Amino acid sequence: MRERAEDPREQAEDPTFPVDGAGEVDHPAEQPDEPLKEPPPLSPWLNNGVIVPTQAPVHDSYGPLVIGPGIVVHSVEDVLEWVRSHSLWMLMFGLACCAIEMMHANASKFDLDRFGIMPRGSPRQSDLLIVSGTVTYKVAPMVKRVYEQMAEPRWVIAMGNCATAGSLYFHDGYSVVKGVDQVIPVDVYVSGCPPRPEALIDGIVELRRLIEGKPTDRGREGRS
Amino acid sequence: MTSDRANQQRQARDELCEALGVRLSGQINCALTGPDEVLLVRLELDQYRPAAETLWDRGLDRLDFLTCVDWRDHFTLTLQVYSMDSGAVARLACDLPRDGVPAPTISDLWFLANWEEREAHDMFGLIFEGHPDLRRILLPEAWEGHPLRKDYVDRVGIERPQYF
Amino acid sequence: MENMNTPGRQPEPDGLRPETLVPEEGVEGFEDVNDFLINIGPHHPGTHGVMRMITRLDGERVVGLDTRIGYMHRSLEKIAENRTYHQVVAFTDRTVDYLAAMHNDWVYCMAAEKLMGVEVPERAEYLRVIVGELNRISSHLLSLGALGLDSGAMTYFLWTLMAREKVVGLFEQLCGARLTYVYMRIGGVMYQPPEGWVERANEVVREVVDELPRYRRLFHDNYIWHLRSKDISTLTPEEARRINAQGPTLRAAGIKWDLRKNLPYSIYDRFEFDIPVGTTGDVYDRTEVRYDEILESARIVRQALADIPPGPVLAHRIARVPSPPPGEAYARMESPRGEIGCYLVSDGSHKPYRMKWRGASFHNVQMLPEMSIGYTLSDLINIVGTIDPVMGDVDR
Repeated sequence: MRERAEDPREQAEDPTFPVDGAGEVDHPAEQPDEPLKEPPPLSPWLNNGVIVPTQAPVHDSYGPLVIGPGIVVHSVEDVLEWVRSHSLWMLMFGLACCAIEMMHANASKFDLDRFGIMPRGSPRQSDLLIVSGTVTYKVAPMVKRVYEQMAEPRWVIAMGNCATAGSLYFHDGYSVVKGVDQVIPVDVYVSGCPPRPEALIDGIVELRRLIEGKPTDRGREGRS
Repeated sequence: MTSDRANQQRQARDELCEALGVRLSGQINCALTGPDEVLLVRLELDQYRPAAETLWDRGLDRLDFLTCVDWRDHFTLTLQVYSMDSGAVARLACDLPRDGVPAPTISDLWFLANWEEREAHDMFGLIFEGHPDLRRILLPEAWEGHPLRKDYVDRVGIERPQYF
Repeated sequence: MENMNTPGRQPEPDGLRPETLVPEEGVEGFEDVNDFLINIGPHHPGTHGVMRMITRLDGERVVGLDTRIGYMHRSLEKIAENRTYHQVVAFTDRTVDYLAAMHNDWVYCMAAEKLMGVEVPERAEYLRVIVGELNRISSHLLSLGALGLDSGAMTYFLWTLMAREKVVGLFEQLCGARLTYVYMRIGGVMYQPPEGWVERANEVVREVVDELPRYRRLFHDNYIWHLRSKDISTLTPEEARRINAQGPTLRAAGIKWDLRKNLPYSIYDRFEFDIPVGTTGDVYDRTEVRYDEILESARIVRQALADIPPGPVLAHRIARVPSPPPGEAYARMESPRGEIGCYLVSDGSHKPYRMKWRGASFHNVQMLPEMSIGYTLSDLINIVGTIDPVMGDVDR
């Protein structure tokens, strides 16, 4: 701790003490720190309480920046997106055959829980809507309503050919909506009839890269 | 075993034919459908309900299907029932004009005919007289048109190329 | 909570008419009810798809039930009128009951073969029986697991899906698909089984059958499951016949009726198997019937795998675009959910003139009010689970 003379005019006479403006109160943060004479009894990991950057921070690199043992500097958005992508809570929205493969993906062999994905029953508690199955004109208002009930940020995976583009009902299905993206905005399309659980996992990994803003496998960058 | 069952079924068919003939005072057209060997009875509309009642009384209490076939100038209402006890199967085919003429309901006899008739109404526009609850079942309530008719115009259809 | 600004919202001019919700003669003991309406669905966390049940409840008891379907109507019958006979097979295994895809293809192929007068070779018949019974095993495993999931026993769901993965792996080796195998063709099946498939199938069946005692200890002998399922939704044999129950529901009520034994089709009369029958027709009995049917199907598969003859798997002289003579044909068979059937009418052209699909779940769902009025709301979920509707079959 620095020892200050109570009288600022006495301080002004001391050449070792730089003072800007007489009569002004000095904020300790604006004064340069005096190097300490002896190392205090602190942990050896903390470098005597001094933060020394090990490299110049590059703000257009991806990922957190480790600048000291145990110290990580990261932007708030990146941390938020990392957390969001690693705990996507999925709404159990199985419409047709793809729902069976979604159930298999949730089960033991192709575990979706290791990605942080939990199937939830209510749209209010979920981030991810996996539309698995054919959307018909009768069910489309319900899909839209469920999507609107989800709180933002929310993402949609169109699983299967029917949700992507209407699948084999494309030409003659009078009651089938040709793709769920006619009703709600979709982030990732997973094709297959039905897609294997591995394909669904691939789509989810793709979605995570999209959320985190990393370059995705398909060469498209972007944040949602 | 197979010939036993075949004999049994033939016998049951003949009995059914006789009973129907008695009930409908002789004016029926009984035949066997070619590949199926199912007793196919062609009827007029006013014979439909008495024939169904006869079949019900003879113990054919399980419903296979009730549907309609659109032969561009008329409809054919088809009902197939079978019996658990004797294995007899009977199919009634009844010609209807295309529009406006209601058909009698049989949902008071066979429990499952209720929704089958609703579906026939939904898909073809057939009206069943005496049905407790005739409304659309498979399509939204506000849908216009009856899709399985041959003259249905599909407004959302996309032209499909012929691949062969 | 209604979003009135949603475009495309279908208006319901009928509303909810009370006469469709409460049976006319009333329900004894519930005459002076202060009831309210609860809408279950179409989206609900049950695993059975989009079905809307409008229940009239008195406290927890279900007093009236109106089931609205049609949310998965995918216009199968209209599409089939615009495809050739071979192209329809791709629709029958995913548009209708997708959990018993082999059975659906099989019944359509049987009807088309009757129309065209085609003989199926022996090896193909055996393969059809084998994959049909394997599909029955996998369908029953999923239905038991889904029932456990709906009742809260999630471990059971994970266990049965693990067993189902083995069976589905077999199918993948055979025809490349896990769920919607377009494996049946008019006149036989598509592929010969690969090398070592028969031995692998025997192993898988043995593994699945060895797992079953564990399921018994976890779920079927569980005291909590007994409390939740015994004497719920009982059906007497007379009632079951009156409502034309089918499949496991009918057999649980005590009536020994299975199309494979009573009106045999294909080559089922060569195999030795029993028909499991229940006593009271309640939820517990239906689950037991499904459990026993897994064992019986395993027996059939083992017998068929032992006797399978060599030979071709597809009949020879079928045109790529067949045009059967004018006529009509109906074929029915026993799927894991009940009796399915396909009625084909041909007018001599290369497309079916009319294809009517008799779905098992369509009729099972129709019986739901009869089976669930008087029981509580949580029982209703279990009852739906034991009926095991697959909405593709209900709506086609």
